[in-house]
Amino acid sequence: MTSRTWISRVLAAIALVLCVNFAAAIALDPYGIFRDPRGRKLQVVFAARKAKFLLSKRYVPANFDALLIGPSSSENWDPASIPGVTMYNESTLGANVTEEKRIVDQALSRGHFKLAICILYPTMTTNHTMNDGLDAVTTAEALGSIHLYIEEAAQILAALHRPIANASAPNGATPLKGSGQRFDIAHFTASYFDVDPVAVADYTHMVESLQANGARIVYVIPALYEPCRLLNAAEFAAYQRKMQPILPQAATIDLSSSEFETFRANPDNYVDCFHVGADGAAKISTYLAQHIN
Amino acid sequence: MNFNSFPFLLVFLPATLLLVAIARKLRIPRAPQLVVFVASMVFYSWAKPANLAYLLASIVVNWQISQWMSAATPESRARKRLLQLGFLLNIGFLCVFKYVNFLLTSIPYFAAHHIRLPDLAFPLGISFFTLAQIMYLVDVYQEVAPPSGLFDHATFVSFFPYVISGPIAKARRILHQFPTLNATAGPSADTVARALYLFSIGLIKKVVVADAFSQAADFGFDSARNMSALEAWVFVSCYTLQIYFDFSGYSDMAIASALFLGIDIPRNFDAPLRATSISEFWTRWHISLSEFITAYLYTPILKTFSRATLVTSGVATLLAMSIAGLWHGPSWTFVIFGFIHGVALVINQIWKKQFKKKKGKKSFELPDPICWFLTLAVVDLAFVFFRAGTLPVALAYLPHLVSLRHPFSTANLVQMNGAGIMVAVYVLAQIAGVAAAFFDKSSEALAQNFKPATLNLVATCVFALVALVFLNSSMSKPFVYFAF
Repeated sequence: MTSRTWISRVLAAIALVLCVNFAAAIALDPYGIFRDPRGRKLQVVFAARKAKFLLSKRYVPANFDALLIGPSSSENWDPASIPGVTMYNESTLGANVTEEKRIVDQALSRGHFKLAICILYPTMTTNHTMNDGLDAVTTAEALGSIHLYIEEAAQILAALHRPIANASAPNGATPLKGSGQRFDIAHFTASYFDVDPVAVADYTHMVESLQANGARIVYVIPALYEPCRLLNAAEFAAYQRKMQPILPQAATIDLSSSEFETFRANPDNYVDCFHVGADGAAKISTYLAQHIN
Repeated sequence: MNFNSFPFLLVFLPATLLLVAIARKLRIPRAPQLVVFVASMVFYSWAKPANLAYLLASIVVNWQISQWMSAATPESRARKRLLQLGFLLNIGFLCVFKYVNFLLTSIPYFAAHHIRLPDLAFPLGISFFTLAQIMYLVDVYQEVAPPSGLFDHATFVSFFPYVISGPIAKARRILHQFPTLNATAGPSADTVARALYLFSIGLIKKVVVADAFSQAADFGFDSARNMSALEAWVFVSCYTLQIYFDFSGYSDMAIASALFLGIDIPRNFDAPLRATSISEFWTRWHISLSEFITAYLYTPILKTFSRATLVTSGVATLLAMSIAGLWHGPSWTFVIFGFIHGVALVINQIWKKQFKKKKGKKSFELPDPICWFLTLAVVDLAFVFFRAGTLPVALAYLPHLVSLRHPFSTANLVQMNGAGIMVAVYVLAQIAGVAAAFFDKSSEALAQNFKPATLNLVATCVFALVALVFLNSSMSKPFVYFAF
């Protein structure tokens, strides 16, 4: 083989593989970007931040008119029971509000939303670092990337009736990973309640953008397992006192109030101090449906 | 602009090669060189256009000094004074941007009174293009190389494959290739094929292998708690491998980019992690810097002594390596990095010159595996300071290397790996990296022996495609040496 032939074959082979790859990406389209996303049921199995960012470009605006925005404590809440709206759960493991804002901004650029539930919890405003490449993610990743191939593989397995465990529901609700209960009841470090000014500004801007889009805002203060909450009650109360006047005014549902104490005291509702299990998530969803209605 | 970025891969490099090809066809004298010069300006100023002014000013000033030097009579005092002026301006240029505040904070009086200059963000590649021009001035002074015209000098200094992170090139090696750059024929298909092959190797080294090791190194230095000795050595070895693949991958892409234009620039790495002595390591690691240290630091320092002995040579080595360490950045950690290598080189010199002699007929030599292991241990130890950022962080890391408390515990390694698909991807890349670093030929050697065969075709396609996927997954990290 001459060098000239070798070069031609290398370039042709790369071009061919890229074309096949693009064709597969467009045909399977696990992020709902290249084909009409209306009525499709797309799940997230990997790299949730990037996946929810890409799904929020077309899939979320086309199929949902309400958003649940929060960290992992609301990741497994299934918002399907809330009447009058079709809600997508944008909550992501370990997310801060700057990350959530980047995801929500995508949805707002194309969609109209009637309702947005925003979780008000210290980890949302501790820092404004974007993780897992969320700051750099682009639509081009839906044409060829590691997370795309994993989503494509999951889609093919699902079509073969071999669904992936821990995949999200089409409305973004994601079962918690791991098994068993583990309660580390302790005082949280002071840095847990740090309030980052950039994150707070992002929270305010995100809520204002949602309101400008026509969405009614409901803040939700999540329910921690009661023994954990009691140990840190003063810090949580101080955090809420600090945040409430800064953020745009809206209704608040306080799951840390006395009304919800029985739920919080029952360890069967939890997998750890912060996260509710499947049953607990179902109860919270029902409660939210009644109260928001 | 990064070599491992889509603007470079999809737009800049193809457009430059196409325009150079068109310029060659037009047969306008030096039009291809003009295209390369303009492309280099675009490449350099991509991230921060204001930096271009510093680069151009440095080029013009150094060129003017070289002109004055060549106009002065040989052996005249004026000629030497001009060379000294050149040194002063170049080192002053480096100091203003990199070292003044470091020196001020290192002197107790200034540190106590908080006397500092405003922090100036140093221009990208300042350490590299300044050294290249110091070498140029010395070469002109010694009449090893003739002074070049401004256009040639500017093209040589700003040449985009090496302007930001080397290899540090000598003018006399590059300038004589400009007629090839301007020739109508252009590089042969063999050269272009070799460049393509080398570029794909460099790309996968940087984007996949180096970044896989950085996951482990970052965890070790930033997140690990109660590290065992085993873990401490594993994490710092991962950093050694990260920086090797990062910088050698960058150098491969630089050499390949120049080859696409028919220009042969110096190689920078030759499988350094297989070295069995520290002196051999420095003939294989950052070769262009090693050559600079030897010719422009070590030798002049040694010449200041009345005679060369083992002691004066040792002092010169320690000084030269400490300065070379400081060249990397304004921090004591870099000075200590250089000093550790200096000490190791001195011990190596003593071992070679004294110990072996005393043994008489048959010199005592350690087995190669032990030499290799000791060399790697010294390299790793020095890299603790290189990676740490601050002295307290480095000093906090060192005890873990000799910790006898659960020395073989792997709790942090288990925690780092966790579970999931990406871990499998990283571990695979790390295994491939270890195999390539310790058992395979250097990429430059592979490129030298390149044949347009099917195996190389498959390898090039796989390397390029895998690297493109990683690149498009927004996981890539910036080059470590961009910080210098």
